[in-house]
Amino acid sequence: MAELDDKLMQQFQKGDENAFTLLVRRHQQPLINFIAKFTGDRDNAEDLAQETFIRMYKAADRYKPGRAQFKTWMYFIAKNLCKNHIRNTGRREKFRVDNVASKYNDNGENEEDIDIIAIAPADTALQPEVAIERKELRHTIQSAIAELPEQYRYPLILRDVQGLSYEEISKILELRSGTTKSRINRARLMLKNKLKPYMETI
Amino acid sequence: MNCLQMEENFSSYFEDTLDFNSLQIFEEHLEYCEACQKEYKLFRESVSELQQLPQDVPSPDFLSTLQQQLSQEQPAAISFWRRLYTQFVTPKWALSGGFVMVLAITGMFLYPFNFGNVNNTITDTLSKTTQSVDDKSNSVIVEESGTQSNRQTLRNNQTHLGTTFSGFSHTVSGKPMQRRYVLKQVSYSTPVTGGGL
Ligand SMILES: [Zn+2]
Repeated sequence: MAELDDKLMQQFQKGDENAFTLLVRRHQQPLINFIAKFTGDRDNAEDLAQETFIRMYKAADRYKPGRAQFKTWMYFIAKNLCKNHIRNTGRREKFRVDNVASKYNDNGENEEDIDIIAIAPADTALQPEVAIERKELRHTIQSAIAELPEQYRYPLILRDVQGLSYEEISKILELRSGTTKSRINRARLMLKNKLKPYMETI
Repeated sequence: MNCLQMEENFSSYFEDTLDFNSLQIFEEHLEYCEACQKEYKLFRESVSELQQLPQDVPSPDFLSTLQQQLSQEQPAAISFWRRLYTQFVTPKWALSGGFVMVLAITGMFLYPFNFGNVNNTITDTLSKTTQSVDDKSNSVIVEESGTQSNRQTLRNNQTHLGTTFSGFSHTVSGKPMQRRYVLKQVSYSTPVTGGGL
């Protein structure tokens, strides 16, 4: 995978613009997902992803194949853009997961509804109430990760949302693998504690 | 292993990367310590839920919007040739008879002139000229994919800076594009520098 990215980058450096288009095709989904989760702001995720790719496009001549992976570079640029975005706009009021969750929040939480999950066997997963519960839970999780300090949020999302290996994350963060591991564990513990009041009612 | 040390190993236990010795100690503690049982259950459930968050996917026009943005950019690798064509071939020229004359004259040197199909001759002539100038620039100019043609069209319509010759022929046939996302902060239009971070 990484070798293909390297090859495409080299082709692009030689002037083949289609190579860059292919790189975008390969990475647009994970990038947008990362940005949406990192900022908690889906509405602006595409703009930020566009800007990430534009910056990579413009700085392509400075890319040294083999020295840094395309993916590493991409997340590095995206993270900095996200940080600026959060600083400039303020994350909280923009946070929104999706319409269903918002509607549900407008109605207020209902303990009886929440209990449906606790008592529901797996095959009731398709019932509308349970579907709403899942959305509510996801909304809570997204809020919780958005509240984590950046040094924990960043590796946590790379690991548990983007599915990167510890090795890849260590490279992106420029940390030793032991530090990366303990930071991710710490981030997960923080998430657990934030979700505790919610999960305990389930 | 006390309860704090237990927490430090939650991820390793969750990902099944504890060595055999640590695993035994961990599970021994977990068996009698109700607090750790409860905390680990919460931990496992939280991480599992996080891992199952639905993925955000790009909107269908993400790529075409990006290509619109990029059409106003110049990667350092090819900026010189872009610049060259931007300076020498402008839409005004393209529409004027003088432009046709210039190309016709150029064409006579390289190609037999064919009055029946002026456009083709011109395109061919310029392509040949391009090729004779540099292979690298040719690969950029002669690209004929749909996206490329859209980009060239946009260059003509929006910037009026100029166009490549294949861009000119596409101006007629290229589909107009819709623009949904506009980057406010980014309005790169510097044609000279290669840009940077
Ligand atoms: Zn314990």
